[in-house]
Amino acid sequence: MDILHGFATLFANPTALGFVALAAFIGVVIGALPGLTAAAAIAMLVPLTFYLDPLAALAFLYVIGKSGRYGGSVSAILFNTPGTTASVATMADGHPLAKRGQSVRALRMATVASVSGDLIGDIILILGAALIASQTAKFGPPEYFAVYMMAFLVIGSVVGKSVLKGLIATTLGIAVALVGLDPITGQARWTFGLLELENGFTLVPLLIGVFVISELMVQAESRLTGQQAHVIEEATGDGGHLRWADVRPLWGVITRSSLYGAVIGIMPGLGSSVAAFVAYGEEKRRAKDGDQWGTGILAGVAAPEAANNAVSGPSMIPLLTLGVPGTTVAAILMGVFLIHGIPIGPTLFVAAHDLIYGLFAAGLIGIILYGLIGWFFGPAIGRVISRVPASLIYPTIFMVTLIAAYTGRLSFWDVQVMLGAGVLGYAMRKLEFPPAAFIIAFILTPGAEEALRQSLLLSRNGWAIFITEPVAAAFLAIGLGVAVWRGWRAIVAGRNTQTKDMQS
Amino acid sequence: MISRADTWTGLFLAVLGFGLFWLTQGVRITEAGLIGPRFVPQVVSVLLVAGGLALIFSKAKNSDSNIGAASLRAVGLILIGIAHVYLTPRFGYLATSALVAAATLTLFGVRNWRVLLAATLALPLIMHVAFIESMGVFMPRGRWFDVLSLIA
Repeated sequence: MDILHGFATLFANPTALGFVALAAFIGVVIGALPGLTAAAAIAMLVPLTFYLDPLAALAFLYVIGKSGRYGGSVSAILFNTPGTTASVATMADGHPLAKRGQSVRALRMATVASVSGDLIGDIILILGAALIASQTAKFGPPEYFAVYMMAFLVIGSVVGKSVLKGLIATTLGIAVALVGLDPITGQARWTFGLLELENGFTLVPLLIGVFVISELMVQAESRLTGQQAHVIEEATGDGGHLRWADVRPLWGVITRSSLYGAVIGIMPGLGSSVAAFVAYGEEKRRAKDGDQWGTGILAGVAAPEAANNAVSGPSMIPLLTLGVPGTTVAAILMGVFLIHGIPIGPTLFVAAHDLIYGLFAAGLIGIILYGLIGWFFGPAIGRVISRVPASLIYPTIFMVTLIAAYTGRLSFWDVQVMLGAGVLGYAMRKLEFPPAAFIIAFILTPGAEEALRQSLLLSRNGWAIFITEPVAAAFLAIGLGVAVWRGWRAIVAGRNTQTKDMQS
Repeated sequence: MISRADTWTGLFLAVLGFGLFWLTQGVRITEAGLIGPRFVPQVVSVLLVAGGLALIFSKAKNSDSNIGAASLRAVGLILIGIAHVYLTPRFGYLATSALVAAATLTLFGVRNWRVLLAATLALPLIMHVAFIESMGVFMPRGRWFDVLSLIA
């Protein structure tokens, strides 16, 4: 019933509804642009939402995250270039279909799978989040500190290729978040006597720098003069259109893949691309015609697309119930909650009930809208993007970032921070440190430090409070367990590689 | 084979960690019996040193990524951004953003002068209308010169 209340809240706010529709369109277009991820687009558009009411602002960015994931399939299928990392697996079968003159069929299969996966994910979010929040609302500072530590360890060790580099990126994010005045004593920490640093670094310039400027630097390096468009042959006969007979046998694939995506979405740090590859691999293993996968079959499009979109809703569960963002998009949304003065965590379901269910309703409406946009205009959007030279798109994005970073506090200092963060993000990409771990750690650090200090104030046994409180101890054990397991696997994999090298 | 880029990065992180630890000595411990404002920064500094040293001595084979391969175009983009920060308060947004647009378009490979001219004029105007006029973002007038002072 709460969700009906959410729909009522949303429909009573025409501005928010309008921004949901706009987001559905913008997300598909941005997702289809190779190189520009949904997270980068959201980071760039955050300053625009300063002028909106919280529901419109959050719904706008949340739906861009959803439609952006779907939009990635457009360029993966048409250009054999993934619009987002989540759509890499879609290329394997999507592009061969397009080359055989079945681009419309492949795009519509991606649309059906994405919409289905996203709806299943959102239903799990709506049913599960409030239930989990009712339990986590009982948490005190020790439990929260343990949750934050778990997030640092899990995200740091899971999100990148290297466990060590992931944990270093997390530590760097914590270090950057500590710059400024100590919130309790007011003492300056690592400010170097600069007045601008006393308030610390703000989220928006860092986000834009790490995600957008670094991407523009990579694109500038390759100096694209146009999309590397592949010849898309025109549809032949009715082979270019999706029929019910095509979809019906794939419902099992779509449902299972959606569930893989939903489960992976709940786990912090894994995200859409992992979900897409897991679903693709697992469904290929199960399929009787597994040897046909990769040659251009519809199941190879349905599995990764259902899974990567099913991540969207459940990835919000750790954020809304614990205040811990599991993905980059969730981390940015957490920043937007804070910018609008809405404290994040389990109390959200009581303190901002209308807003949260309005946001869930916006998500559902957004899914339907991007599905309609994709179904009817997906091929056209792809063709338009293939004709607009990237050499015009990326300078435009750069101009937007310069003014977007300034907009938040009307400060050129923030523009400089954005450029500095861009260099840092670029270096992290080059050296394979995960930028997402850096940003998530930056966002979580103030809460973690506050929880740690409050816990020790409450404790009669000093640090033992984190062991004597069973829930806190369990969260810490999970975090340490995942980090040790990932580290051990990396060491074993390294040894195996060395042995093979010596044998060859 | 250990990546040279990782060795240098590890060294940088270790030195950074040492430097940050040293800087925390200036933070007074004001909360007797509890952890004060110095505690977390010190732990993080130590972790940075440890992470840096681990990276230096890590035996894991690295990918072929190399920061040394950073192109001048990538650096050029940042220099254009710095020029934007320096020039906007002096020459106003419109004139500066036209220069920034021209430089960025050239950097991204636009060589057709008609396209370059049209985009150089159009982009600042679009940004001005979208952000400054429509959203009411306040942008200071140029101290030395401003195109807007010629118009209004």
